[in-house]
Amino acid sequence: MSLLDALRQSLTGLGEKRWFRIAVAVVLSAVIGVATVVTYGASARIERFMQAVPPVLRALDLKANDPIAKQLAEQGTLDIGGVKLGDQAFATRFQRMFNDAGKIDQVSEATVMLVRTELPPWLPVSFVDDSRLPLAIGLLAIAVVSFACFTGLAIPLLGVVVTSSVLGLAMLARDRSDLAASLASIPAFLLAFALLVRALMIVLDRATPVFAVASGVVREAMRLRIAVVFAAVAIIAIPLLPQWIDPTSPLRYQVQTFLARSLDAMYLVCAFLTVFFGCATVAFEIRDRQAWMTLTKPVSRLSWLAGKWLGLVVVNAAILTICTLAMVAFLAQMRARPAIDGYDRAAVRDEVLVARAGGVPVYKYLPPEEIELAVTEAIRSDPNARADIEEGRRTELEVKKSLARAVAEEYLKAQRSVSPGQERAYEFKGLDAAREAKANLTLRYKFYAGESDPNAVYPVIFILGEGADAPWLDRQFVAAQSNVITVPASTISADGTLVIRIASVRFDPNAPPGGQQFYPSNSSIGFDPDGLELLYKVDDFGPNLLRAQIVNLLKLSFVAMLAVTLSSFLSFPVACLVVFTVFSAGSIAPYLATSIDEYRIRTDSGVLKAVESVIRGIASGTEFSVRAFGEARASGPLVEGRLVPWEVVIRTFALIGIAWSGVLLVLGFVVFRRKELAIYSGQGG
Amino acid sequence: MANAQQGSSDCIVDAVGLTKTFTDFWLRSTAKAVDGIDFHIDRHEIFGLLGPNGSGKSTTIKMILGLLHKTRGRLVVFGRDPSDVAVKRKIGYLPEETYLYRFLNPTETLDYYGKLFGLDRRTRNRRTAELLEMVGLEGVAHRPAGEFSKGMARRLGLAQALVNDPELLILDEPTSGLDPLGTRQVKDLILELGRRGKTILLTSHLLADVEDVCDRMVILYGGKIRAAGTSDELLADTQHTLLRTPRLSEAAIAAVDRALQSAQGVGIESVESPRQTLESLFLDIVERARAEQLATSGAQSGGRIASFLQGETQGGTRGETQGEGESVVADLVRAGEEPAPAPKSVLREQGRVPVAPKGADTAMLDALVDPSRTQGSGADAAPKSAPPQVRKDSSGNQPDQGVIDSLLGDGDQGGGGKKK
Repeated sequence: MSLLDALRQSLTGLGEKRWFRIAVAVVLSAVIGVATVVTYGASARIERFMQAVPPVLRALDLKANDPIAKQLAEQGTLDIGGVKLGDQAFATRFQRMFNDAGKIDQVSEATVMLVRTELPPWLPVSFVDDSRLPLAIGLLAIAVVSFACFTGLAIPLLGVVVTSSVLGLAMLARDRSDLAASLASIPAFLLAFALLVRALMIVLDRATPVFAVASGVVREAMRLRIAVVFAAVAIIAIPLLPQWIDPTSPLRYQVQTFLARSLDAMYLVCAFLTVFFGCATVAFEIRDRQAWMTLTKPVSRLSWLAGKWLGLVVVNAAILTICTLAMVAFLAQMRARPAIDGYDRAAVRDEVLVARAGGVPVYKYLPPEEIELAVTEAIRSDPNARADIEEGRRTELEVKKSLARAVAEEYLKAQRSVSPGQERAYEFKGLDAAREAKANLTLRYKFYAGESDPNAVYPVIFILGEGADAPWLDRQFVAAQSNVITVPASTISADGTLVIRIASVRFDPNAPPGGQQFYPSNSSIGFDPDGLELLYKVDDFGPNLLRAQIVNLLKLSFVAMLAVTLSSFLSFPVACLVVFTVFSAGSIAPYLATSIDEYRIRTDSGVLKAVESVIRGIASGTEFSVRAFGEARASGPLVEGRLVPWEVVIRTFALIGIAWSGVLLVLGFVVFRRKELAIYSGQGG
Repeated sequence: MANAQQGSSDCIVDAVGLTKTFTDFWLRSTAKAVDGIDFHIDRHEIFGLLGPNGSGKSTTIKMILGLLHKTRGRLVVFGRDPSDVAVKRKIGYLPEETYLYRFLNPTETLDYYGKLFGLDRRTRNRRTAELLEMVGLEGVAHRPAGEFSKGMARRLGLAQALVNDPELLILDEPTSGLDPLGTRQVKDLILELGRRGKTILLTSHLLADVEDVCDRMVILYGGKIRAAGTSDELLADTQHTLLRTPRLSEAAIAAVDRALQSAQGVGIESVESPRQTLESLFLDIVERARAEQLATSGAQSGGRIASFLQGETQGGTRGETQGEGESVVADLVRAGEEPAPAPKSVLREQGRVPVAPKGADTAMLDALVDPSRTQGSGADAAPKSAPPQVRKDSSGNQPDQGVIDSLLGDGDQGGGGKKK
């Protein structure tokens, strides 16, 4: 026996001893307890200062020779509860914060500057935001440690503690605190994954066929290292992602990039795992005949398929959960990175880590009778259209439909265009919630202008309201690029309507008093149907993330069902190919739909037209079958700070989780039920 | 014959005109594996399906289990269609190869199958422990099954087939891959389970396996039943008489021959001195080694029969004294010291060729016992199935220690071993 084997055996034996497990649990819980109390004490102290300082600052009056105000302006400090907050280095900045009336305008910023001097460098910013967070994390950590010890993972737990400490300290010694957190967290997240799987196995420990088969799948995924390898890829990648994100770019983009890459990584890892492992666990079990042993027990084939599916969903849920935790943990680290300016930092809070609902302006639609008139006029004046009808290339109905579509679109397009020197009002309705919340709104716009030269900037003026005294903003934009302006909630009228006027006008800020300040711009402005959108906060980031991940899990569960059912009657490689194709088609379903619309074979040949019809039919059928999958988008909206509403979750659950997965299960069962699992092994012929 | 008890409540399996034809992708017939067979298996019966490789034994079993669908005929199991899930609650199945999950250890394997039967945790735990002890795997209860030898996997396969305390136990080549000790243990277990009321369907192409344990058997060849009946009906040799005496001198033998000539006009056809069977010798050596506490890394000998399998004894129905099977291990140990063959084993010990009853397909039987028709020389070639022939006195020969060493050294070698 090698030394390594002997060590492994003795450690295994030690890990199984009750006293050892209790000792590890007690010691680690005590360490966590002390750390939690210290952290909670520090964050609660900072929180007390954050609450105590603003009233004092608001009461200051430099004009009235207030000694405290003078101390702040001259020494940059403030005494609160016997503690001197602030620093001489801030004195100049505090002086600038006092307005002409001797009052401080930016109370929040001044508070942060003062309290920051008392902030321990080791205390995460998120703990300052909510001092109860360290308590919750501490209690959770103690529960996790206890669970690990009492489920036989005391030795791995100690291994993780030692490995994380060594990695973390090594990086700290090299002054790489960012990398220290990344590397130290990887073993912890891997252990957390193992623990979560163990917990889920306890949940699955039911003496029913479906649960028994499901727990077998989870065990297979773990024991054969399949899920571990896939999960490890994501769990290692997510903490290291910040290292590859340019720290000099705007913080908003850094956070969005991290979010997008993390979500993509975990989703793709789960998808690939589902495709390959899902097909393998069924196809190989049938091929290697373990299925004989199971299906000769009181297990219906439907239960077997359902159990396989449930096992895959559980594995996916475990990976998604741990990866999401890792992402949230490092999101906090990303937020603490330096921002370009206050607006940049605020954008992270108000435009990314938030759940915003949005709305487009209310457009007017051309009445049917006017459309009909326009169509009649168009046919009368268009010789080509008449020729098409007369020569039988198209029926009259087809021509009319085509023209009606064009007329309606043209009418709408005209509303999305503003001529030089003109303004057009756009009405947004249903903003009662935003008005009541008094939260600022964001107007996102992507305009085209003139030739839309990418090297040019174009002027535009936004007038927030209908009255003459409505506030306005002048902006310059680069064509075809998204931009935002902040819109105060106070501009929303009592009925929840907001009118924003857009003027294709240039403002001259250097114009002399009384002189001409506004000039017609050189180009008209236009935009696409989704080129003007008003966004406002309706929920926090956390619940939005939860909903988004539920949608992702539902999509993965559909892929799992596809893999399970197809591989029950197809061989492993064929099943993988089909599932992967469907998954890919589903992921690009919206583009697929556009492509089908655009698809034309320009020919008069009847044969080619027939071919076109067949291709179109197949493509349309495929697109229809994966449309729900493609439309269930969650990661994109989440990264853009948009709300993933419960309606989307419920719709995805109903369409993908129930309807399509159910159809697949039934079809798979119908085929699998008649499948003969055994093959002829004799010599006859 | 076979249909005499059709439809009775004691009929566990009933097949009438059962046919299975395999087809290719284009639905063209490729092989008729089972061709209109009729048979029935009664409750508490040990029923044998005998036949060479490819005779349709496994196909029949797979139809009974619902793994294959019948092409024609009627097949009911416990009065229902074989695909009915409820039927499977009463069945235990050991396939011809043990298809285990490589990543599960024996404890987890039995727990998994126990869950499929809906057994509660306490029952699962108890049965798992008892079964592992019974099949001698308690020492490797936490080793992944993927690391098991074929013999160990076979033992675990047998344990999983019993986890639900089945009413009908289907054993497809149950001794395949087992060493002589395991083979003997399995046969004793089958007898014991049969005595305790289980219905057992056994397939084998090893004649001795079936002969030793089955109440009734059918012999298949080419998918058709060639012979059916009890062991006695099929194997009784009514043309010869066997006398067993203490060792006789040549003069005494000559005197007996003369006496026979004068009394009945027949003489002695052959004279032989019985010798100890290789199986008996092997078991004896293993037992002595065990007594010396030599270590083995593989499966241990089996333990007591699992208590949950100890149902009502079908007292003495198979000609053995009640209580004899209370401890299979105890029997096995005793068997090594003083072989206690079943009454039916007289012919076997003498190595006589069983004479087929009138009407039996003797050519086919010859083919069955022809070793050249059996597959492989390891697992399938048990000592008892060696080509029988009239042996001359060999009492002075020493046992072939090389064979013994080979058998002792590797449980995977099956019963055959290698001859030097």
